[in-house]
Amino acid sequence: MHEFSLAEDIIKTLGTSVNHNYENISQINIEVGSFSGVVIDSLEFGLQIMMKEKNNSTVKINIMPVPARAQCQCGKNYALTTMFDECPVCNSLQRKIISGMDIVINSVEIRENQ
Amino acid sequence: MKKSLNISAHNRNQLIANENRQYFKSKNILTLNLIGSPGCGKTSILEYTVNHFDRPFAVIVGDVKTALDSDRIIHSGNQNAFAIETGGGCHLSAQMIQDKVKDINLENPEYLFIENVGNLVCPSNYDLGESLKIAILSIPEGDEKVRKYPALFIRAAAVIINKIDLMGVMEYEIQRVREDCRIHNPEVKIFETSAKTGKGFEEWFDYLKSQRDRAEFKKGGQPGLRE
Repeated sequence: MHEFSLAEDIIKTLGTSVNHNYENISQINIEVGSFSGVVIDSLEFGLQIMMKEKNNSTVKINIMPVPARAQCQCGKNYALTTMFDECPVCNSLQRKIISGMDIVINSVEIRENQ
Repeated sequence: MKKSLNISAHNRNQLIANENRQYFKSKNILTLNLIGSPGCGKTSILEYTVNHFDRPFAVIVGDVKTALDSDRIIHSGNQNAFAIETGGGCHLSAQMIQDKVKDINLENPEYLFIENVGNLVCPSNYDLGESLKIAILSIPEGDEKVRKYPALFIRAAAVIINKIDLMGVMEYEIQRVREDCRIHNPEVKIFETSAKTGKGFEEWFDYLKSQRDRAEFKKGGQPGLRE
């Protein structure tokens, strides 16, 4: 629902990293956690439109889904498909979610000829 | 050429939120970000607070359109209420709060309540620089909200179950809601309130005072901030 605001923030963060030379970016690599609440298609759509506004209509948006994982109090590290998945070892729900919550701008590919 | 960044998409908002948090700390203000569905009673809780809480506070209300809710707070007797019209935006951002706070005299208030846009999804992901995120539920919404919208309940330091006077009228498994909340946050504080009858507000006000009095807050920590 807020993918466009996120895309806006990503574009601004990228601008700082590439000195606002948006047209030099050939690919944006973004990690999206499965519990980040983001609809990947909408985020990609938002980024494409905003990059077009920056005169770059050829950029590739590479979105890499990151599965959610939890660290149980018993020590087990396990994958979560829902927030209510119990630990497969001790059946506990006393765990800390350690990945899959965030959206991370991993890297950008910059055209060599620039 | 690959340029490695590893920056959270929330980084921009987070930097501004951190500035806000520093600012509120410098004013010794406990800031609460109230998040709940449209119609769960966020504004009614604040109206009741205006008339019954004995500490000075300011209010910022975010809505997609109109200043109706901040007007309600003003009409109940607190002039220190301000509206942010997002014009379609589904959540408040740290930047919106920073811009609005410039217009507010925060020398007197001890608390700042930020009533977020009625929505259980997007506001959960935006730190505004608050000390505490408070989730607000209400009996008529049904008892599955904690399961359906986990992102909020992972981050909420406290949950208010409002319209408790409707228990018995509506079917609501309150014990299950409490258990679901504790799965997401074992230390969560849960309050049952009715802005109509005033039930539960004494406990809620005591909690607010205890959070502001906490040594961690005076030393500059972030009570209840779980990230």
